[in-house]
Amino acid sequence: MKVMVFIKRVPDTAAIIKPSSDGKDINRENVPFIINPYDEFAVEEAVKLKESKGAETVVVSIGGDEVKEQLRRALAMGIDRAILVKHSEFWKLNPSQIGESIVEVAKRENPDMIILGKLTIDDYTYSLAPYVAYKLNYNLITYATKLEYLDGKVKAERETDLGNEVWEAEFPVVVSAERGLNEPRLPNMRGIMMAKRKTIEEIEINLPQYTYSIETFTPPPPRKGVKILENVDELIKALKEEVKVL
Amino acid sequence: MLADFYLLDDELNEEERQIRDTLREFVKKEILPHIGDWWLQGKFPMHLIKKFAEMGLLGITAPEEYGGLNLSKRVYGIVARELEYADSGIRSFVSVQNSLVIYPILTYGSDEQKRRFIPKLISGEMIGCFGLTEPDSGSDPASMKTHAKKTKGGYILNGAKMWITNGSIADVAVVWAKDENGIIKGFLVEKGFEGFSTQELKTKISLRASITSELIFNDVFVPDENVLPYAEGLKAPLSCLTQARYGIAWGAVGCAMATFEEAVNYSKTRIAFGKPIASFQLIQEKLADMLTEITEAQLVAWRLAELMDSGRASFRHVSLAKRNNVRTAIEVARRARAILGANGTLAEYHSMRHLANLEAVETYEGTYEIHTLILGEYITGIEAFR
Repeated sequence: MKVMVFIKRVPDTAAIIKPSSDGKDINRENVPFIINPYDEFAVEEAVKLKESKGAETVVVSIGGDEVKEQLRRALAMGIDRAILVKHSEFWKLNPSQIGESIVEVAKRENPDMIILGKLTIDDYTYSLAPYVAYKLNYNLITYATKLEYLDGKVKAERETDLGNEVWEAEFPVVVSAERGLNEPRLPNMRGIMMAKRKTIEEIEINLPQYTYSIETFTPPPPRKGVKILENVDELIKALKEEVKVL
Repeated sequence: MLADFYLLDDELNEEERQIRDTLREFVKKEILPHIGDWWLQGKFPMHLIKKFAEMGLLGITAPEEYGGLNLSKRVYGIVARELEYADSGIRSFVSVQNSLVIYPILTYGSDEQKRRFIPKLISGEMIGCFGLTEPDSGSDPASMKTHAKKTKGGYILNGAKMWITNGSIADVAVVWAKDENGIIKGFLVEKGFEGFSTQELKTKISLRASITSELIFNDVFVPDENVLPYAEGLKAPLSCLTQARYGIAWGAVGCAMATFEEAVNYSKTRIAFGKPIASFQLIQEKLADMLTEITEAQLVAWRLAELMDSGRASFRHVSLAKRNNVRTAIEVARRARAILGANGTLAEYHSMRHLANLEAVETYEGTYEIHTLILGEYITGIEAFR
């Protein structure tokens, strides 16, 4: 079994984000970056499959040399090898372009399963898994919270607003990871040292051009201060006069 | 990071940086939220031993053929610093396993002893401890009373060892005792050997998240194959202490960083006289002094790592670093506690716990005073020990 995971370098969720000078992006200077948390679930799931089923694992990302930091972490967690689709300004790419990169790498690698996060926390489009599955003509399971591997197929649990579902899909399949799928491990020192010996293959892909882009980026307004009220009467008064919801 | 003012960590290579970052995540997630409670309860987190082993913390510099990582002393230093950022007791556990158990077996043990003990010590299946200090013999280890009498197939060991980290949970104790000719030898005393017992010291007001015990030997038969063949004389145990003291010099930097950061954060949010206390000159002076002292301690630790890794460090270099950095950490922690005011005395904060721990750290592995005399002897050529 061959499993491919895609990860994206995103700003740390704990980082303080400011807009860039042109107001169309975030200021990327002095911001710590991490593997997109949902993609990290995908990495963990692939490593577990390697340990339990002997799966061959490959991690893919897109960007410049800076992205090797996240690829190395995935390798340190236990993924066998990495592929970096070179791009100097990957954060300007739209989801279709990133999706196309994954599709191109998948055509080369022919994985039985592609696992990736249900969304990336920096753009929230939820679109990569469906895009990739459609383009590759793979089965698709989104928002998986539990995966079980049978011969040549996968059984997945997913939570919906109506209740829990159990799906079964034959390989090849694209799975998007939801929170709860697993608890990603921290890389250990041995893994970190071993990752040094693993390869990061760099490839170039001609990406299609699209005519849409982000027009403006505005960070959320700062939270207002907390006001402590003495009693219920004051609360009701505040809700009527200040917040005006009563 | 505010406390790394001279950007020393920029010298780390990519893997070393990853090791540091991963350890920070580990400490933040697995230790910091609970350490105050463990400390108050006087409880060492046994469940972490397996995780330490998985992280690779129990055989950092040991050769790969025994399951070690064969990494540099610099990495060992970084590990000590990041662990002691959380608590000196946690770092002590890792120091003992690496420097006081694995190191002597690797350095003074037979191939058979190495094969038998080292892989299990690295995987955390076995815990070790180191017995040199005695109830009546601390700074003057040559005065030890524990003795070993040759008998058929081994030795009969009698005596007691005191202040032994991990003593009650150890599967193997590296014990130093005098033979009939008064020569100090190393013995690997295993849990379950007849006549060997331990007693945990429960009333410590320092290093409460660490196990400290007395080891008692009452006619304990130690077979010849458990005697370290290449250790003879006091130099052998002292060489182990040099390794452990090196880790302490780095660990103390971690303590100092932790209490400094706590003081900075607190001073910026605590309001007095209508403004954050960080805006007062007396607080700023304290913080400036703390940062300066931490920077000095870091420089000492970093240079010592270079000397250790290139084989140029003597025990005297290590003495200076242990002496200076632990004293620095105490002074930084004390000022941090003062900046936190009454809150500083609570276990919800870290400074007072570090301060209480550091009182023991300043005494163990060579007291401040003994290291002073080691340096005094180096400077003057005159020994002032006796």
